[in-house]
Amino acid sequence: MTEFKNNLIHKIKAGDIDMKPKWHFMLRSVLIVSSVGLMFLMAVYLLSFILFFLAQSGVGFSLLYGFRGLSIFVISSPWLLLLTAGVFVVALSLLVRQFSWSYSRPGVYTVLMVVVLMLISSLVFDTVQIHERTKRAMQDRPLPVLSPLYQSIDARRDNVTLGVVVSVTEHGLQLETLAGGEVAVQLLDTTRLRPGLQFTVGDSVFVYGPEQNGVIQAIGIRPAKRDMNRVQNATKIQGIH
Amino acid sequence: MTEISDEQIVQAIQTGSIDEFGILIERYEAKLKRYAQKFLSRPDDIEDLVQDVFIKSYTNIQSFDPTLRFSPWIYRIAHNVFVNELRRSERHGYSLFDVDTLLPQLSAKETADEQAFSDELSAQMDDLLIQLKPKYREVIVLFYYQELSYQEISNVLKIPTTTVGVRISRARKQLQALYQSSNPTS
Repeated sequence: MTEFKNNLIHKIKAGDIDMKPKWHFMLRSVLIVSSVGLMFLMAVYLLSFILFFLAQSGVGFSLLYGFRGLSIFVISSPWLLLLTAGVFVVALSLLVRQFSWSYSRPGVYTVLMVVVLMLISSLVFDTVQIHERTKRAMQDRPLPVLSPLYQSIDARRDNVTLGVVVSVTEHGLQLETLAGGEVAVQLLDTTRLRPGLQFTVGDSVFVYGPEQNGVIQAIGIRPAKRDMNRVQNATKIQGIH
Repeated sequence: MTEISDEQIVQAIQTGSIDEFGILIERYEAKLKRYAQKFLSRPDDIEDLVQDVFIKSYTNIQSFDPTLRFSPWIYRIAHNVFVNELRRSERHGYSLFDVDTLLPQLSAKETADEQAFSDELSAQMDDLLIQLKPKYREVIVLFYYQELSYQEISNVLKIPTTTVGVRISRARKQLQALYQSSNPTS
């Protein structure tokens, strides 16, 4: 027996070195897996909310309207939430990096896998209308962090106007906005519309473009799949203008 | 008579047989000391560091899954101990994050060409190794001195197998360049 080995075995037998019990490692594994699962759920909830926000506020569709649409998107997007989602992606990628299926491949694949899984799961969230339901529930029972998030969807923002067509004029439309006021929408030669799009009174629409003196010079108009009666009732309750 | 495997020994230790740990010490003491010597290039506290590796191995032995190979597991512990020592002692010791683990690399497979250095290069290896960055030095030590496969090195360092290949290939080129600059006539 070498002295090196002797010393170590002696220390172990003397109780100077303790073996951690199996349950310690099992508990640690459970905690890691739970943390990954919980963080993933939070990330998916956040990402699906961002997608919901972009669709419901109309901001997401501004990308369809060229460079000016892009600038509307850049100004109006929920960057803090997007940044938080990015942090979640990085944190999740680092957490799963300790598993062999992850570290044995380039890190970019792990990040891609996390993003793809988050997107797929977000679509599942969208299918079960989790945010629609939560938003409605928040109107009856507001919660400290969530309610302001959901209210921010219907907040007034420059260059994107959600409203109901109250009349169709020679030069455009007359809209009733969320706040209850009316604005005129001027259709220009450059206004982008979906081919075959017809407006009728009562339609909900997103109008993209700057407003001046109660007139919006429309860059583009898109039908909004929103129940405006519900939206208007909710915004009146919440006092959003 | 077939020799009892490392994994069987660990199973015995996990059920309370302390003396079996002595067999593991006998099998890995020299290997780990050589790993430390080549990687850290500092002979003074090697004994303490390797002792630390064995202490951590014993402490965490219940986390080892005997259906897997034991050597990458103990080398992983050794890697962590040695890297911590490098970080403690050298200002630019060992980076936690490396871009070469992030992006896909052209597959670098183990080849016969990599199995051995030329005799002249091998003779001067110790002097040349110290001049390499730790991340290159370590893969050379694990591949050539500890004779681990790419996959095993990947498990020890927790980096992609393609990155292992790329690092070995770069390290070889750097070693050859260093050898030629120190032996201009060869």
